[in-house]
Amino acid sequence: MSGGHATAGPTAAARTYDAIVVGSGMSGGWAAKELCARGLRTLVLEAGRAWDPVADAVEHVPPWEQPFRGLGDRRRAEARQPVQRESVAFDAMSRRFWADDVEHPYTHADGRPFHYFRPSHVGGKSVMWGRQVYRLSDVDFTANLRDGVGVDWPIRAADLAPWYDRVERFIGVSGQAEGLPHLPDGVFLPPMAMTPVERHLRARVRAAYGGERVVTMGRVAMLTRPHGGRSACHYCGPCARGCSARAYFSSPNVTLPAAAATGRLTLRPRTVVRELVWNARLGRLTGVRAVDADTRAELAFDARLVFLCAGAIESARLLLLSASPTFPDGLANGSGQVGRNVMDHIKGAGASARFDGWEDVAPVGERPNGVYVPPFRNVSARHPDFPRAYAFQGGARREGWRDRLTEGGFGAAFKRRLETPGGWTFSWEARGEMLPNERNRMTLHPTRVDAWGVPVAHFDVAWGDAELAMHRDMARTAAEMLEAAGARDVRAFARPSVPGGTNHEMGTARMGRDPRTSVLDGFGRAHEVPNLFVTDGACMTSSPCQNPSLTYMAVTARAADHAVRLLNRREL
Amino acid sequence: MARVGGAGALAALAPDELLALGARVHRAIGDSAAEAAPGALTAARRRTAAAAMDAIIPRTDTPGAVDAGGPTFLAAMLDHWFTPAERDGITGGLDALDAHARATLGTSFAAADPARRLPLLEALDAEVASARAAPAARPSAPAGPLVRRGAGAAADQAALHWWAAFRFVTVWAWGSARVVQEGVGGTWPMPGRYDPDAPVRLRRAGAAR
Repeated sequence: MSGGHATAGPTAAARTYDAIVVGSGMSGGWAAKELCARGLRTLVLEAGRAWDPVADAVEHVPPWEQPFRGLGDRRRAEARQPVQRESVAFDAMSRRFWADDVEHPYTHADGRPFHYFRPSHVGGKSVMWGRQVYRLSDVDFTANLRDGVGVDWPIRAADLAPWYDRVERFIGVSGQAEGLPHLPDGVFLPPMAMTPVERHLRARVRAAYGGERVVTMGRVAMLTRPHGGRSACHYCGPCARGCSARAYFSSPNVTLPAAAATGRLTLRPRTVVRELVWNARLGRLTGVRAVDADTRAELAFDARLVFLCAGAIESARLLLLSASPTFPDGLANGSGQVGRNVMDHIKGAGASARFDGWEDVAPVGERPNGVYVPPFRNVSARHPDFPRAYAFQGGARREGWRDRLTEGGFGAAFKRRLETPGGWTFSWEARGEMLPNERNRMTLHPTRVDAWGVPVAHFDVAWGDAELAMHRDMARTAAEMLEAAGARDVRAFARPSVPGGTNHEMGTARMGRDPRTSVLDGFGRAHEVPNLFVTDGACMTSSPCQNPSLTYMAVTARAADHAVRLLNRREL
Repeated sequence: MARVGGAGALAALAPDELLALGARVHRAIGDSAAEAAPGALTAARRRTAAAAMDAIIPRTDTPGAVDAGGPTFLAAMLDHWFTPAERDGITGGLDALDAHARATLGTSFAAADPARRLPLLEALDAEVASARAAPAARPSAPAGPLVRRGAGAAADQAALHWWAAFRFVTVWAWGSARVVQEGVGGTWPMPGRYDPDAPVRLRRAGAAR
């Protein structure tokens, strides 16, 4: 395999595999790598197109060669990607990695908007993700139990710790060890450097809050030195456009090549899976049915094992689409929980400010990372207004010409303002945990279908009182920390994001201990379907505020190991 | 990139690739041909726009907005990016600016002495400042500084006042231009490293993304 390019499609004689993985992104890439490494001939089915992650990366196209000098083709975006363009990772060049909203429509309840950002290619959102990676702790894994919300996670931090280790060692994670029990340290490459304002803020926040609040460097799946045959980051900046240096983790650059190197991977792009095929007599899945996205040919693939890694929404959609007499409400949905408990991280609250000083220095290079404040609410003491936590991400920079786009002024004096670094500004924004709530759900629309005739997702999701109370607190604490650090012009902001807008959708097929109230066991295996594993965001029992992808990867690696052990013991 | 040969190959290009190709063709054939092409930015408006851009960001010992291709960028934006209403607002504004110059200065805006035309532009800046201060321009809840970037911010300016949009296009054209980004203190070619404590030297144009 060459990067994300497909190997030859399967012939009629080769349509039986040991394992099928649906989806090639964050989780699917890990499933493919781990299953192939354990000897399984693995078929990865991806709805999106093939591309070359090195040759087709567009991060180095200078602004003057971009459509409308980087403003992008607005008319095309409005016509074809009116939802996708709302993503923070959508721009003039990265737009090619986002879905066509006309081909992939969805609906939402009146007055309850939902942003569903979808990828369009091999590698999924692992190509455009924010690359922030944080471990969960038992503060997170025991939260539902503690609060009496949702169901208890069937796993604890110790179950995942060795798998976090394995994932971090392989993908390369840069970060600063802080020794915080509620944000466990990982296997870190050297952290990226802080600006002088950020170093000042770290010291002042530490002094003001006695270690309760910590300003640390963002932990990112990016290389600060060569690792695993990949180059270190060279700080060009726009990661969402791909990375020809392979400096950040994406499945086309890291896990899929590893899977391909075993000789056991078949990757079939442009393959829209429509159904997981349940055999009631055997009491197991026998494979999947799909359609070729281009030729519309009907396809069928068989396997002993199926990993569903299509993303929380698509995976749940597929389970709902795979109803049968055994599972009239959707595959593996005896609990009725498939599609329920849709969660995302609430954002849109934080603060900005100015810092005086350090005028003789300015950053060179574009650091694609910022500072991070680990969760501090409800870590020990309980907050009276809400049960969960949030974390800040942000950073300091010196103003430049882009900050003058809405200013007045003329002539040489105005030009000097454009050409000269302005003052230091700082901003940060929180991402907060959303409680699981059965009423927040996605279903299949009764009549609307996508370009391939498949019923589309319908969302009925809204923030609850707990998230909105937390949102107000985010803005307060964002501002008070900046004030404690001596900033001026501190401005808090608080406008709740649209659910889905953080692109951390999860919870639609939750793990749990009881098949009556959950879909998956602690390994991501469906309670009711022995050879089905779901290891993307769908499996999340709660939505801790840490960016979730690292956990999806660790859960997937652990699940693959477990699945192969079961296969080898003939228990699957 | 792959060599392009004939209409069939062009049809195979995605729209943004086609636009990028178009930009290269425009550079190759020069501004004169672009000026002759039909579009919203007529020759007369182009002269007015160039004079106004030169007033905002003049050529000094470094390139100005016109050197940065500002008028050509504006023409592309008017014909292919702004909505018809936004386009008409900007072209109408340029026409009104020129008419105002003829009425008060006795000559076209482009031909007027730069010192005499500046008050006309300062009056437009004042109009924009008033529009920004109006309650209708303020969001109901404060949003983060990063909520509206690039394209969204440009559309916001067009909704506010034609002169705000014109200024946005002028500064964007300058900041995104090769002659600026590769000029003294610019950010291209990329430094290939990150140093948060680099000494400030000369001018820096700021980040190019």
